[in-house]
Amino acid sequence: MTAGVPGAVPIACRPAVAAPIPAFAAPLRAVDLVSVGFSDGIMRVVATKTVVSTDPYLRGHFPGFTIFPGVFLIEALRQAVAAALDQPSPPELAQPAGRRPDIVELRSARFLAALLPGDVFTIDARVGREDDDGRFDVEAQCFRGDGVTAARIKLRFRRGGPDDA
Amino acid sequence: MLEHAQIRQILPQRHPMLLLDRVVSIEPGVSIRAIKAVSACEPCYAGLPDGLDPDSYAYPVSLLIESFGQAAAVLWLVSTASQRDSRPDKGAGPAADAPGNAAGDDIFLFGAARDCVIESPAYPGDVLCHTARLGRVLDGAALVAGEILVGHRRIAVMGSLIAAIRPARTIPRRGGTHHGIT
Repeated sequence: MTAGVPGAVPIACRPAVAAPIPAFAAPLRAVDLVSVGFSDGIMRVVATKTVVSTDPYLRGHFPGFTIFPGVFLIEALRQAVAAALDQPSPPELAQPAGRRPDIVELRSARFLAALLPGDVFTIDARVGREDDDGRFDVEAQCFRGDGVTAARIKLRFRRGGPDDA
Repeated sequence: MLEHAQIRQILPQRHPMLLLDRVVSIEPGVSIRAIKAVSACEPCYAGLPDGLDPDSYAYPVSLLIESFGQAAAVLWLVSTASQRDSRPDKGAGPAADAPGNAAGDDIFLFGAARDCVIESPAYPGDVLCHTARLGRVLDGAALVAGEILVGHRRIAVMGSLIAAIRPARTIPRRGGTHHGIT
């Protein structure tokens, strides 16, 4: 995996492990494998998924003609981050244990190429440090198997998700 | 107002990805108010264990955005059809010109988004009310902004969504490169 978020330094990742089945409401298991790496206060997350037309929501998007919805790349990034934060990290990078992080802002997203059944996509993300309120930013680029950039996504997460207070 | 049968004539998405139940009001070219009821029956809750943190049962943000995007799509598709119908030279117009054609040969795709802030989670039992306003429309792409309410409470501000309509035949079935969409 040599491609990365533009301007980001390459960070070596550990071997990929199977992503857990999400223990939260999710439209599909949006990542198959996930690996993490750490450098200079930044966590890198690389996740892959094979698009299959039998995923529950995909039969309606669209009947007889599956296209992986752009919003499911946002979902994939959410699940990749959740899986990565469950893995051990170096002490200086350890995020405070606590509630699962969830998306509080879609800062920007651009969807650039279609993903169809059989396509394998790779998400390459950089996860920033958590602030005192449990918020952190994630920037990701998504590649199709042929190397074409399928999407660029910037999300903001927060421990426990949006504040409902 | 558009009931579910009419929504199905406009949008190509189908169960369980058709995330719009009813259009309460629509002013073509301007704005829409549309409803989506979140239910624990939806597939995103299938197989979820009991006893998780309450926020684990929050409606996924990806589906929240998709549902808003479908309201935005109805606004744009109805606006486009309405604009065409108001032209003095419109003629009889084949059926293929109707927005319902989106369910046949055209695919509605999410192109880009910016500054969408989720202020509160939605849960089963919540009725989402999407309010969307149509912005610029250029070259088969439209910019839509708005909010999502549950009752009188705002739960999300949607800074901007850009959607595009493409004929299905222009999307490669395998391999190849197709820019501008997903």
